[in-house]
Amino acid sequence: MSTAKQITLITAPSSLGLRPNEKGLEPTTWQAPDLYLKSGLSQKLQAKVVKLEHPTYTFDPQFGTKIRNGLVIRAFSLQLAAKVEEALHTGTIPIVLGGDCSILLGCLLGAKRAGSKGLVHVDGHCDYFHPGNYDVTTRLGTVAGMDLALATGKGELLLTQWDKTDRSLVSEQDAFHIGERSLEKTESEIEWGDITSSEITVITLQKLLEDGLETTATNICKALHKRNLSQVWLHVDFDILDQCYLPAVDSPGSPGLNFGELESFLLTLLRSGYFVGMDFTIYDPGLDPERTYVSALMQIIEKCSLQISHNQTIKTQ
Amino acid sequence: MTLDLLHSSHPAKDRAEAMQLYGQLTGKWQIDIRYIPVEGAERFASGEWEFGYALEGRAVIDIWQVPAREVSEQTGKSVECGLCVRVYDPVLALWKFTFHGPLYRTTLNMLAYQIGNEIVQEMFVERDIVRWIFHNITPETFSWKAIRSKDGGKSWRVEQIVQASRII
Repeated sequence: MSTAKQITLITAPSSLGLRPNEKGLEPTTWQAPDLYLKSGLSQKLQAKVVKLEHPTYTFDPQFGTKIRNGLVIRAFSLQLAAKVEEALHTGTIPIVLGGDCSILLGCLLGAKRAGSKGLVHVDGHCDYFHPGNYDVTTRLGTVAGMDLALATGKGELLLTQWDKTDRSLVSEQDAFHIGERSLEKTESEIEWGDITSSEITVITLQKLLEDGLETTATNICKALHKRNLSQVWLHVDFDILDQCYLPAVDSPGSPGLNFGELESFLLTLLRSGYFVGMDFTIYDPGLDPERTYVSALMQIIEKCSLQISHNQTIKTQ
Repeated sequence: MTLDLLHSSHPAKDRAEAMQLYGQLTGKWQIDIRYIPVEGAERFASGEWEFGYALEGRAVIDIWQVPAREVSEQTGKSVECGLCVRVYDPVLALWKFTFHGPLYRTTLNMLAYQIGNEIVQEMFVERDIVRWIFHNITPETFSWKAIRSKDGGKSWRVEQIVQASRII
């Protein structure tokens, strides 16, 4: 007899990786995890809940870094990593509710410490800003636009150097990005175009739509198998949804997926059994005062969580 | 007078292991310095470098003096006498570093990390990434170098090298 693994919902109420909003205030992505919980997510999943405190957003530069909230993001990432690692070590599945994309670093650090390797990064932007492709003197860097670069070891040591080794959170060869919608332009037209000369596998949104969701998901799973990756982290930024379906994000855009397409794509990935945990980011309740999109997003989180849980069954007598 | 409240004979017990990163350098060192400019001839100098625990053992401070104090007192000429304060932050799991060189009105802030057997300090100078690295550390010797990248970390140029030998 077997039973599905228990899920640990970890709240990561962060806006640290974003620039201030149009009113000059802290963005409100940090409110999303609590909204999911108040809408009954933990009961539906019969999940254990681990809550992190909302970290303090700062507007001024911090000591020794060109990154907005750099020191706070490091501290928060270490806290989050401890929770992800603990969830994995106790035999549960960590599902991290963001928050902005800076939470990816803590997720990967915790997963790596528990033996995980590899990243599938589903996001409408490749988040590949680093000091080699933008002028750090013109603005404070925002981690939500650089999380994939940092995860693969490019950027300040503050957010690339974690456990006394020179290895990045994930190697370029083990990182798969799906969803950038601007890379159809030539490399010289966009600052982060140098991702195409890295060893990261990049599948643009246009290519995803052209090849088909199931075919793409199946091909990614084959590539994971080929790389011998069986404990992979899945990052889902909801801005891969077309702005006509989900405008309540920091940087909405088109083209994009609809809710059903995203769910279908993620479930095909998750059925492979290669994933040990995942995070969901960037929905901003402050941009959705009527709470129009919560139930559709919750459905994706719920179905994906149940799928990953059922994949990893525990044998019982 | 000596600053008895500043100095400590040992690291704080609440972070003794972490303090060993810079704590292994406590003592006095004779240093040979090689300056490598972008253009022009290289320069060489000698001096001394002294490290000790401070602030109840939660910081390591050091004085970098070129030339050695005995020489500068004899000649009345000092090239550089700088104070570094290195404080371990257990929440961030890194070191905060500040350097004061009063003669040239220099103040620098850096963050520092253990990477393998090296200690790597990092800061930005305009768009350049600058790292100061302690390496090849043994009980009796260590090496130090300053490197700079102008392309976001893809390539690095060595600007300064120090070879240190323990005196005390």
